[in-house]
Amino acid sequence: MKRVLWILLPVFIIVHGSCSKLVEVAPPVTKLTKDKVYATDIAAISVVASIYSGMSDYFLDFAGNIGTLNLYASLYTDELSYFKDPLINSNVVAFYTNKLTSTTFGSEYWAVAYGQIFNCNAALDGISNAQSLTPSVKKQLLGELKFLRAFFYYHIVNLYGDAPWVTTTDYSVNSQVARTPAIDVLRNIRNDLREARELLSDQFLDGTLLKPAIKNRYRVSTHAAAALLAKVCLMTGDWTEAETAAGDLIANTALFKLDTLNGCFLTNTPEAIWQLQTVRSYTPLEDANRFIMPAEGPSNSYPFFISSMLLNSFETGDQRKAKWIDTVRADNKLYYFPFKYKSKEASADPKEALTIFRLADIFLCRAEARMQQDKLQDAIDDINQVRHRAGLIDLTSMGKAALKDAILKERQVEMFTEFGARFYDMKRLGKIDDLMPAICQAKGITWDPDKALFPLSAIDIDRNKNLIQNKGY
Amino acid sequence: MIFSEENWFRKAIRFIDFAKIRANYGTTGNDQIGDYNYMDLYQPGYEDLPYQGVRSTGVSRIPNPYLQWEVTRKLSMGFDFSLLKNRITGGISYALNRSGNQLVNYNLPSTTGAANVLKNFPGLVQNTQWEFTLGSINLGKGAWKWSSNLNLTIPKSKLVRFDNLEESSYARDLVIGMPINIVRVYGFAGLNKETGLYQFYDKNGAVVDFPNRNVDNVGIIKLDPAFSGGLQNTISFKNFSFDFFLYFKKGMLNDLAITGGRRPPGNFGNMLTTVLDRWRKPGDDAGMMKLANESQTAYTYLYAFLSDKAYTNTFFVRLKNVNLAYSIPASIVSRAGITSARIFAQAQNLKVWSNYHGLDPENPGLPDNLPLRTTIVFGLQVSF
Repeated sequence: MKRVLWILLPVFIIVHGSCSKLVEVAPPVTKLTKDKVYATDIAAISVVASIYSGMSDYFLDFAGNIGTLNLYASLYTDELSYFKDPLINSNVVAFYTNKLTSTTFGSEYWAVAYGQIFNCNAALDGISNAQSLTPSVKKQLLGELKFLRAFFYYHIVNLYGDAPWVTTTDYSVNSQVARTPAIDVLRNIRNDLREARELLSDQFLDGTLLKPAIKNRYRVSTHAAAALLAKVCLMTGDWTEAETAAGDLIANTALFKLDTLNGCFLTNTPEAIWQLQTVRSYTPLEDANRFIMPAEGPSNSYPFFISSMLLNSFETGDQRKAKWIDTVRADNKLYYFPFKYKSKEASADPKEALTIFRLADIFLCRAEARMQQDKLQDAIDDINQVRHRAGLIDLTSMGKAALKDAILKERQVEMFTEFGARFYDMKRLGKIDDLMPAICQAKGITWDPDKALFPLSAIDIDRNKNLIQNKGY
Repeated sequence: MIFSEENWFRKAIRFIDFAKIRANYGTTGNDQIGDYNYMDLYQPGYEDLPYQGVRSTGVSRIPNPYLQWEVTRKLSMGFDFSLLKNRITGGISYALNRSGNQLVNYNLPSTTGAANVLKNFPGLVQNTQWEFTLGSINLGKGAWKWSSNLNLTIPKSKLVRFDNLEESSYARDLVIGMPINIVRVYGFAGLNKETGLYQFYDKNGAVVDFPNRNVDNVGIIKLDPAFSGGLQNTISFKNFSFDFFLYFKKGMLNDLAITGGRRPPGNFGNMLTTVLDRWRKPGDDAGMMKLANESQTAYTYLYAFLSDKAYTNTFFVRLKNVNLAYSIPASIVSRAGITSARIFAQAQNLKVWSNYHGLDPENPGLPDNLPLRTTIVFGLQVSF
């Protein structure tokens, strides 16, 4: 018996000793684990790069990415119309006729933005707990993520109204969340943006986050945070803060000034506050790719043209109509199409970049903030800066109500096909129910005030009983 | 236990050759899931021009650190017999499986940043199945030989327990006490003879043009088959042999050919002949709604898709296999130095008898889903 035990003992030791190694499986070699991703500067930067690339990598055929607002939000209001080809994508018709539903089109922006918000939250969690990052890199990345999360929420609130305020990555929490009132979401992102302004660099950094980029403004800086803060404060009614944030950008003449009409969408224009780098060398920018109509005229592939409502809003002599809109004559009809982005060449080093924030927008934001504080002449001065560049004469003094209309009109001709600006402006200035009935009548439809918000997806409503659908859907 | 081997049995009942009862009970798990799903993993992106020269790294999927093994408890019982010198054989078996903690892709709303996460299913599902088999040798001696085999399966599933179902993302998909595989449908109330559009019942039974989404869909369709089975017959006469297999099944199937096809009738594309029976003018009593621009009919059509009208309680019988063969007698072929030779014809999916409206009840759903292919093979088999 004793002998048997002596034989068994080494066997027992071998089996026992190897046990923990066998049970603990090593992580897969093709993927990175969380602790490695946030251990080095380059890996942490690459996580944030995935958010930028996600924003930049889209096609206009499908709504969802913020960049596609240039098409779909413009169809929804009075900026774009389309060639009535029977094979036109049904989502184009749905947005143009305001016929969005919970099961067809309209909820795409919600899903894409919350996907990006998850990425922001995951990276915020990882980077704030990271110990080995260069302090300046860590600070910049945290600022970028707070900014980016605020940016996605800004669009969610503008498109859908009240929205669940999600700040974790825990699916068990995030699948039960109820909608937070829009004003509270806006206050939350205003606070995040205040923080982001402190965290972010005042330079346009390159991919290392250690030195300035050469001739590009592809990274979020404290200036982008100021721009978004000004826009958010216009929605929350923080007029003085909106004026100051916009004013900081306008005063920074070393970095920012109004460019020529042909120059202000080029890479490294002094007008740009934040642009996105293309991540595809094989296609031009989507706006140029899909809006520039070929000489043969409109077709199923190039159906979009500027509506007569927008065309008629340009004053005589407005250079923006000449420089930012081009025409094609087909079947004895003149088609006008957006021509802010002019290059149909695909390139790894393109001359133009998708411009998210630019100084002219900020001048008009400050005009609005000043108008709201009854500083009417100051507001008119800001509008006139933008009008000069377009070759128009100065506005003369007017009352507050007239000035509000003047701001809306100036924004209409300055900001068309830029990230739903027209749709957001009409809502923010309380004019949507005044303007849309006539717009809809011209389109052959009827305006329903509930359509100021897009629908949530029926699938989301099914999967979260705390989530309430928007009225009218 | 083979009780036909017992002495008392052999003496008492002589026409039974073999009889056996059996029972098993056991527990199994499942590892048919991807690896590393509990980990927080990132993977590199594939952009053509990395952002500012930095190749991206993105979250590969929502991690779930709480994963556990799933557990299935299985009980099965059976009775097998053969009698009349093995001319009749048969069996009855019953299986009961109770599964809990199954690893499923749990559906998530988009506020989580993903459509689903791999999670332990917080419920208990019971599957039971009755199986009957019967084989007989109808003719066994002489030149004619004929044998048959019949089997029949009756499956049932039931959701026994689901923690917090009302709060979960499955609240509208599952009902405790019902099978797992169900769909909620709106009540279809026929055609409105004035407008030419379909009508529906609301949850109180009143006829409405548009039901309330997710409120009026109170009907439940069970999608599991009621039963299925097959009949195999083998007949031979001297050197000829002939066999065929019939497969049959009964159950509710999604049958969109009834409602008019892939998109509302009136669109570009091929139409089903059912559109010939469509509404044309007020007062028409037709089977199909009017042809119109999609913008007028899309909603009505969508609800018809989601109504009980789009399901058929289908019973079908399919002639699945037919084989005919003739073995050329050795006395003839041996002169040519051939050991054996056989001429045969085989056919699959020759014919389906059913009350289903689409092309094939075994590929149900959209009306243009292709039927199973019919194949016929002729052959000569020679060995030297």
